[in-house]
Amino acid sequence: MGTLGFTKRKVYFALSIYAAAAILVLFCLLPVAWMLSTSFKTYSETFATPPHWIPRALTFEPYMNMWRIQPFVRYFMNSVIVATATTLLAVLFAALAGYGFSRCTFKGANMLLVFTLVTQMFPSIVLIVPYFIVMSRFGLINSYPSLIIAYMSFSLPFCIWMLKGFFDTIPRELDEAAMIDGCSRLKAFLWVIVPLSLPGIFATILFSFLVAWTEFLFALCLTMTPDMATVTVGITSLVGQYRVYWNELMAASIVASIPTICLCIFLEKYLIRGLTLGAVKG
Amino acid sequence: MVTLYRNKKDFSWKHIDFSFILVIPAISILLLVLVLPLFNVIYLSFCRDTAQGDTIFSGLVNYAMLIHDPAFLVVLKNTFIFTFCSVLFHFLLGLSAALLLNTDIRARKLLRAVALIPWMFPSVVVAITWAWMYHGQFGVLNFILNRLQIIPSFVPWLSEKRTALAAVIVASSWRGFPILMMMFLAGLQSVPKEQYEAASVDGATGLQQFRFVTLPNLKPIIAIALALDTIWMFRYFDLVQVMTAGGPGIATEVLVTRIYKVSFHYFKFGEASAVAVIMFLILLFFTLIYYRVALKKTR
Repeated sequence: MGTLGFTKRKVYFALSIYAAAAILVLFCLLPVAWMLSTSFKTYSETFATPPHWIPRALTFEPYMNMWRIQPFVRYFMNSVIVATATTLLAVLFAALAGYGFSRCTFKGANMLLVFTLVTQMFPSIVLIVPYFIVMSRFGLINSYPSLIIAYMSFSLPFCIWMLKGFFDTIPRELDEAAMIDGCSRLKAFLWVIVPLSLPGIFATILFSFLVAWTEFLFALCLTMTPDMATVTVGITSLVGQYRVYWNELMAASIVASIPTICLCIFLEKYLIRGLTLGAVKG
Repeated sequence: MVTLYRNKKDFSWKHIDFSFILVIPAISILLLVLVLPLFNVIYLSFCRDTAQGDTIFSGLVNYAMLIHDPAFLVVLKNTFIFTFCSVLFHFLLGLSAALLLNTDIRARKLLRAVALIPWMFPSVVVAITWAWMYHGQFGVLNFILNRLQIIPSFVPWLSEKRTALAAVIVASSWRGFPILMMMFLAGLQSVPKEQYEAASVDGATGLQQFRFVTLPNLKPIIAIALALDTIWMFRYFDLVQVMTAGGPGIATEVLVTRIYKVSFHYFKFGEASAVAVIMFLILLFFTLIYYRVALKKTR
């Protein structure tokens, strides 16, 4: 009786766990399934009642048409340019600073380090008005530099922290050994430390690219014309229109998400570290 | 300068710390793009907006106006409701999912990958997708809920004042819970196995083990996750802006969308700056709590 009750409870427990897993999967995948389903439909089928989960007339047309109806090529190009430039600049300056902080000997280093950490919590929206005013004065509105400068405000701090963390794992003795062998400090950094921390630098680059690619607020406020819009601004500009081509919109959404999904898969290993250092905003 | 150092190599390192030189460029950039604008926005918040779009220094007028503005109170209330509910659902969903993934269920890796999917999409894509699912006439959610006889007729979720905020919160919960799940999962996996063994030897039931072993071990991570998530949700712009832009009326208006609207639709930079400063101060408070919690953990 005792053992029977025990196994029965075990079965119930296992069942409830699998039921919970099923609910979790359903909850996570339903919106994605709907997105995919819509993106393979013809325009008229998107308004079928009741809606079809599996398109009757499966078509790839939304994926073809999206490029014609909106300048998506331009949007993607803008996003790539801005995200790449931001990443390169941020990682360059952050690598120097990260190494400096990692091997720091000067007074007040700790204070500066905490300062860069606190800036992580800084809401971008607070910067929007000053940026807009100053950048209009310099004629920078609606240009790549305006976005790149703005993106530095969130990219640089987390790059510094991530890279500092990676440099910290490399023993100081290596720098010292290199310097005894006649390297200057800068050379020791470039030829010894950087090669050793390449995986970490690579992860930081991907994180920076990911955050810049998905950024929306600055892109919305600092670009004015479709030819300067990034992907996020480009897609969302379609939502409020009188006639929404949901199938093409979903196709565009999926295409825009492909880079972020790939990056997330690559970065899974570094996810927790990135999260707590503010690389990934909720 | 350069030649001077090159001639006396040893001299330069003794007097100017090399690591300090490395840090200077990044710190100067941060001062330029973060600290300077912050002072600017504080100054602007004391300025009156004129009809010409100029700003004139005039003390506390903006703040005085905001205090007496009933709409601003609604915005504050919405922001706190949105933040609180999002964080609560992230916590509940994230913890349940993490506990589920911590059992010896089959295909655990696959399940974890699936649970991460919502977070892999950019916020704007999540917003558009959910807006389409909430569509008043053709939205799939209306069909599902109607078929399950939960709602008698279709609801225009996002354009109905009573449901809009809840609808946005649901989308926010969907997108945000995987992050907390990952944090909790990492925490669960670091709980020493011996403690569970000891507990089961003492005859603790599963629930008691959760209460007396899992939760105390997870507490520091829960605290950090909640604090971080509160900060994230408090300043979350993309989702609300794309789904409702604060509407209908101001039913879903939060501080972030308010600042955006006042700056770029009404062009009242002074008023927008005042709202921004208030928001900054509230966030500063959260941030201080976060560091209290985070530092406590490391000590």
